Amino acid sequence: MRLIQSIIVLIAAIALAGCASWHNPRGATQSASLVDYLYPDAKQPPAMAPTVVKLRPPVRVGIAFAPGKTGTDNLSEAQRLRLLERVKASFSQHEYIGKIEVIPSQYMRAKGGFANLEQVARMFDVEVVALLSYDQVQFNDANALSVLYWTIIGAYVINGEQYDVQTMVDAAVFDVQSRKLLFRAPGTSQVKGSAPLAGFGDKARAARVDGYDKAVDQLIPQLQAQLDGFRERVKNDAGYQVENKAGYKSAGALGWVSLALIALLAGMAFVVRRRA
Amino acid sequence: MAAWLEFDRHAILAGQVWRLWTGHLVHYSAHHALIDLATALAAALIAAQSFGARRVLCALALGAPFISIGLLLIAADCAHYRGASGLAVLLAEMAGAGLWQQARGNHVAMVRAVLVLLAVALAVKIAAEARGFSLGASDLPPDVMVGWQAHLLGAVAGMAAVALLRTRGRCVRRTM
Repeated sequence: MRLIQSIIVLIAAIALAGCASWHNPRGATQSASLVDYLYPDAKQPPAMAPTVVKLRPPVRVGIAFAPGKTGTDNLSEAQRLRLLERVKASFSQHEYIGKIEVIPSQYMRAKGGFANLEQVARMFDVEVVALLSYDQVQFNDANALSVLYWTIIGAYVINGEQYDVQTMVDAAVFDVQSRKLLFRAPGTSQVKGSAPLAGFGDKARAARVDGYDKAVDQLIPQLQAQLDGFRERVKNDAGYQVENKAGYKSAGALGWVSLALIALLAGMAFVVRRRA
Repeated sequence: MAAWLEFDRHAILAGQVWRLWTGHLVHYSAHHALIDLATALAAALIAAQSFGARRVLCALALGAPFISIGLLLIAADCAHYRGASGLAVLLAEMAGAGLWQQARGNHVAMVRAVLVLLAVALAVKIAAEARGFSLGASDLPPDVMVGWQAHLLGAVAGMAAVALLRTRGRCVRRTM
């Protein structure tokens, strides 16, 4: 009897010891690279010809995420659209930005290159595209409290697992026609926390989403600062030509011809009143 | 001051709705203001004799935001706009419609023929502006284009105002 009890305890101890390795100790990685998208399989640097970038305010801007790397857990489409809408909302008020189109990921082909970028720009009728890339790494570790998992209840209440989520989001703004990078800005974040073994997955997922939100929180003011700097730079840089679109500033103006027509109308009014 | 009153697409969409009206009151130069306001005033006086001052003022109060909202919808590239010519076209249409109704006697054909010619001239002017020709436009700064959309919207608003006033007039006569 005592032998049977010992065997049962031993089996339980071995089974519990195995629980600590049910989640990936190495963590999770999510990544989308701008270079992989725009310069797929590039072995030679692209030939750069000096060009003049023509910017015509109000500029039509597209904003999209670079396609994620295959083989990694990628940001969900709903999360991407939510982040893009946040960036869009921050820049909609500028008078030199005509419209901002959020481009869903379905239109961004992995390793599509500038050809895909130009197709998307034509489809959405935009002249400048802001491409967001990201890199997120989650490190998982068990801390000293995880020894209490053997109590079984400990796996549900003791925060024996800890995560460290490091996120980087980068926005690079390209002029589609000249394929030139206009400016870029980064945003980073680090989210740390701990959770019990049961429910660790949920907390880690929430931390990953929080990591992106915090990185975008940092990205937006950086992008605004870079945009302001770019606006000053183009005033003195011969490589950029800024020409307002037709009708950017309009006037309701009649001119002397209209004044002559209204004088004729006044003459008719005089005739009508005189005969009445 | 003019910057606070002019039609500004982004400011209007951000909630500064007074610009729907005040955008028609500010101009880019004194010359621009003089011609637009003189035309509008002359047309308003003629229209007021046919429809009454109160109705003309109502037409202006409703026509101004109609033109501004129309610019938001059909002139996506227009970020800034100033000038009263849209309202002047509205008033000119009301004036022409009033004279058309009031023409009497032997000169009816002559008056109406001139009014038709004026309407055709207005349509040609708007079409030419849409193609990029400015026919004797006011002294505008070099980066400012003539907003033909405002003239078109003013013409539409004028026709709507005349139709509405005539319909109300018929309703009043029926009830009397």
